[in-house]
Amino acid sequence: MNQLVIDINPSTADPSVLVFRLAGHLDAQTVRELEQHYEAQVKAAKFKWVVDLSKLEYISSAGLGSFVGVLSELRGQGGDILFIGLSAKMEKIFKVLGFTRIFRLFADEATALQAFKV
Amino acid sequence: MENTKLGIPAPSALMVPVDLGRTGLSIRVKLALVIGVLVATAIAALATFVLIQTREALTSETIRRGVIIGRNLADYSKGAMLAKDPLQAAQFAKDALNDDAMVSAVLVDEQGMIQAIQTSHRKGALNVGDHYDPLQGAALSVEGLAGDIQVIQSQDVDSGLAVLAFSFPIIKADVFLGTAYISLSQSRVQMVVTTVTKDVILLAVVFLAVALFLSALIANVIVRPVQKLTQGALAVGAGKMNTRIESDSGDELGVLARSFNAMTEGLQRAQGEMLEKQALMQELNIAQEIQQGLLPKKIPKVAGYELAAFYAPAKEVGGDYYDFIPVAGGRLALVVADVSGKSVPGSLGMTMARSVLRSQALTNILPADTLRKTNEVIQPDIRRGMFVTMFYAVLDPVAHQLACANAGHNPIFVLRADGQVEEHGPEGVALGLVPAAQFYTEDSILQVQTGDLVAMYTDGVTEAMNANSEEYGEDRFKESLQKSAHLPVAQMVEQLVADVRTFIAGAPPHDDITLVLVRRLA
Repeated sequence: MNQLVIDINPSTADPSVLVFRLAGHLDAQTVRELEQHYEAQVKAAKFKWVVDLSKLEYISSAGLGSFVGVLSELRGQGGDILFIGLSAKMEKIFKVLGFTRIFRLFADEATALQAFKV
Repeated sequence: MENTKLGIPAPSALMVPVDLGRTGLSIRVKLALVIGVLVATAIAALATFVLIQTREALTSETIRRGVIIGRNLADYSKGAMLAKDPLQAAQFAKDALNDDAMVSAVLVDEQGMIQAIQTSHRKGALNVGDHYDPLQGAALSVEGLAGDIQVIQSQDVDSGLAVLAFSFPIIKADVFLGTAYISLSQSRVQMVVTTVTKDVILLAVVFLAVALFLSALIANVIVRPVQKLTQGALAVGAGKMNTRIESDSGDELGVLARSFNAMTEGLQRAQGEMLEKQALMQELNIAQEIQQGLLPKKIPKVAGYELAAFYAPAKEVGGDYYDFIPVAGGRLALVVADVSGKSVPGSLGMTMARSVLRSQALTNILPADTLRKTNEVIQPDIRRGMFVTMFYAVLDPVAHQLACANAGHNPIFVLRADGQVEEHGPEGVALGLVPAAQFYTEDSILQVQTGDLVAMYTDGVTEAMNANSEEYGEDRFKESLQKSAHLPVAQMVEQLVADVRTFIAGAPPHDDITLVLVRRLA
């Protein structure tokens, strides 16, 4: 069984922003747990998310779809999902799917936090 | 239960009626028989032993009594015998008959002539002065008896009674005066034996009854758990899988009951898993049927072009599909798509996307418009987080143009007549992700030269993985295209798929493989 390790913490530089650090496999099975975290954070009125994919080995279409699924809710509350740490391969997937037209990708956490301030 | 909807029979319907076969003697009867025979044998052995002991004891008592009476008679009658005084002799004989068991007392002189005769019964044929023939019969050897005394088991001549006959020599001062004969009835022995026998039979009947009653009780103790087990087994056979047998007994039957429970639990679990598996299989079958039903039944004919298509579902049904849609102006729309959901939801998402696309393909000229409209219609209704990647291309076989638009799908490959492979991938967002205002796709025209081949495919081809987790990849696919370029597309598509399968070398495919080839012939 492929595992997904989910680590969610407020950014040290800006505690109003949550940083999701994902490691392992994000697929149709493991995405269920991640979606429970989405729900909990939205309930806790945390709408600004930075998602770090640098430790993620695999992402399935179900995993990708989950980000889009929660996106409109976050943006409706003035929040967003910003991605950091994409490998070249993952960036290509994002590009082909048109995700780069929906999401913004950043090199690191600091530049992503900067984008939230603008 | 969900299963019934899927046409899976209820558990009880899966069961076969139980044939318990021929039923012979029950354990109760067998046990009663065994215990009855055992008890009867024991009682018989005991009774025989008691009777033999009693008979022996009574016989030796009779002998002792006979010896005392006979000895006394022989001793006391010495004087009378010497004096040949019949009256006195008769008195001694009469006295000897005082004992209840005595049958006869006879005094005989040295000539064998009767001097006195007394019997307990009617007077016999013999009188004083007659010759006396001693009773005949089997002589008993009695331990500790003086050598001159004889004991014979015999029968009284007058009464016919079984008797013990004794003979005592009458001797005074070494002179033989005669013999004293007495006989004692053994009827007392018989009577006591009869009484004892009666008692023993009564006792045997009582014991046998008690034994049978106890055997029934014991049989119940054994049979009840067995009956419980039988009923439990029948219940399980009838499909009541939650049947459990209560038993806290530590004996073999208790162990059997617990193993039965363990077995039933195992069966129940196995049956549950089987039903779940069946439901899953059924779902996969439904999904596959939906998917297969949507695929074109045959490849359309286009003048100056040859077309081929291939589709192979993965074990876990993905949501690939391809389509050919004739559109205005003698053109043909080619579609390759991949729905993000799996199984039934994926198939339903695909059905929706296909229907909407087919209607939009007829009313929109530009491919980008077709995709834009398709997204606009399906996006509000598609499951949150589900999306469809689609490469949509309209072939104009007269102008030899392929008008393309892409919705998040991988680029197509163009194998030029000179052997060069080009990627063609206009940008676009997958269908269903974002509302119309945020959606993006673009038109892109590809000029098709004579001999050019266009390969549309899904990522099941390029992301096919071998056991070492290596991907087939775009470079291998391009090479494979070049290597099989000389073949007609119908054979080429087979060759391309064979190359992918050779690479994964039996590893289970984790995604559908879809491939559409178009080649301009002239």
